[in-house]
Amino acid sequence: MDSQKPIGATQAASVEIDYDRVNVAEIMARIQKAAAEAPAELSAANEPREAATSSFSPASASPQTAPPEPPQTDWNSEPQGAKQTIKKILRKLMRPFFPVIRLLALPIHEELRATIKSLHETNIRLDNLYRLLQMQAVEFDRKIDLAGERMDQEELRLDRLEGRLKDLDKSMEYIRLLHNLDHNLVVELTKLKVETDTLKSKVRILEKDQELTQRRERALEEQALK
Amino acid sequence: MTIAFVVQRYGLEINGGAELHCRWVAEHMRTHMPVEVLTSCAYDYITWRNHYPEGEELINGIRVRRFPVSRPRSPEKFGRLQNRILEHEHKEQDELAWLDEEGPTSPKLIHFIRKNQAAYDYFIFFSYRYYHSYWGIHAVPEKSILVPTAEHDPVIHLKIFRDLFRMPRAFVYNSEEERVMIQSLSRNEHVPGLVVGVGTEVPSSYAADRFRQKHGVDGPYLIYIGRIDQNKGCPHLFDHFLRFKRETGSAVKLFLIGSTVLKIPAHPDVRYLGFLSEEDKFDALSGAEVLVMPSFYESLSMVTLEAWALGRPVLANAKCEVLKGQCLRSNGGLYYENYAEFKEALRLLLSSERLRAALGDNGRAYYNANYTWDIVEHKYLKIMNDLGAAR
Repeated sequence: MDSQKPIGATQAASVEIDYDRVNVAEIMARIQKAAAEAPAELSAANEPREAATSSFSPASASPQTAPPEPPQTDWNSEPQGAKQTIKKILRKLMRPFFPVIRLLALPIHEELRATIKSLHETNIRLDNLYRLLQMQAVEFDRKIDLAGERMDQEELRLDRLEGRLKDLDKSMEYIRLLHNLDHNLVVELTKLKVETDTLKSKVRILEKDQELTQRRERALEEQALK
Repeated sequence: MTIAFVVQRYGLEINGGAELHCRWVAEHMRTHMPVEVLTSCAYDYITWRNHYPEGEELINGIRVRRFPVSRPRSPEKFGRLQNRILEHEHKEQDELAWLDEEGPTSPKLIHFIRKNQAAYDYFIFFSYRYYHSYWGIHAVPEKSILVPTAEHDPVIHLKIFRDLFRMPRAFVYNSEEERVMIQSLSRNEHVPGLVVGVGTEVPSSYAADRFRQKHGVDGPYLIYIGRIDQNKGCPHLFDHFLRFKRETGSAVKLFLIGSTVLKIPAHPDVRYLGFLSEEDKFDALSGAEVLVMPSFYESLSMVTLEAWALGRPVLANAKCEVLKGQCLRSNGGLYYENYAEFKEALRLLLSSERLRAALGDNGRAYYNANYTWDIVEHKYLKIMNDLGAAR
């Protein structure tokens, strides 16, 4: 495979990648940034298909579409008018001092680069934190939904429990009534037993009376026959 | 020291997932100590119906003891039970009923472990979610080492597994993400564990040209290797790839290798090659621009490690934390969460051979530092030696 030959009709624009020390996290941060910016490009161009090239690869485009023009800045064009002429003369006069100016500005430049780098890393961290936060928010919402569902289920269970408690109260009332009935039955049965015993005693007395009467009767008969 | 590997299925015909992982580890550990495998008679992972004969057999020099599955799984009943435990309030008994239905239900295997525990120093259980691991660890907790092969699967949140994760003597994790997930779920930090993973068998010679000639391939191509399945994110891959082609006009093709349960889109640049031999697979992988891994759930992607072993870069689904973590740690691949990121990442990868080479080199270095068999074997030995010293 030819290493210089791009694969496919489009290719990504040059991206600063340190090939000796590839850092996937950094590359992915740029890819995510480019991917996030892609919808904005789409709306700006108002041509979804053709404008699908991302900011990650500004020079790329579909084969049917001309690549978007990069911003034109002609750094070599000469300024116009008296003011510009004076500027040009001053620039010529100052040219010998440019190295000194650059040297003086170097620490500031370095500091600026470090600051920009630091800001960039902070941005990446913030993006990551934001994504994490979003994921946690989604998870939190899911848990709240789950908790809501569980609460609904608990309420249903409570309703069912209340119904059962009412049934239980009714059952207890029936049991109490049955208990009273039992008690009354026992009392009545006891009375009946006493009455039965009394009647039995009366029957025994009557039997004895009858027996006595019969004996007297027999005795009288004997006397009469004599 | 004698160790027993306990796994749901075992055989040369079973060429993926935790079963292959277990076989490779067992075959490598055989050089250090006597090794046996305790497994079921099942071959089909949907029903666990008995396929192999009960009893002993030698596979690549390892004694394999097979125990019958007393009751095959009824997929419908299993589906109902799973819905019930995932979507409704339930008791622990419901979870255990689900586990029994999930199988492979082999009480004879558990009985053998309990009865013969003195004959083995350690039992290494593979895959936390099956019957053999749950009841096996309950039978011999003080001798068990668990290789959970856990993914972000809803069943991992079941109570029975939270308790299970606190029981073994040690863990062998496949990735840092898996360790974090299990520890955060079960608070089992007191159980020692090492992130080990698995090595891979890279053939001594492989040739991309051989693959190109054999299959009449020209031009650049992406490759996907594995089961072509919904859970593996393949529908998203098809969607993203075809949209990428439409929007960029790229000439890149997509080759799919593996068994399929999905309808593959009819497109001249999407080619399904079916199940290939190991030699063909490595030939194909070595010639690919990028290996694409769209899977949502992975505990350790062996094919990703194989790509890195060959120095090929990877484009992975960032929604799978394991794959994303591996890419970040190795600097061997890019990842995407949505189509926009897929497009940018793929375009960058395809446009820069230097980037592909640099990512591939990083992946290979990561593989050599973590996943060669010497390192994997050494880590297993370390775990067992540490446990022996702690006794």
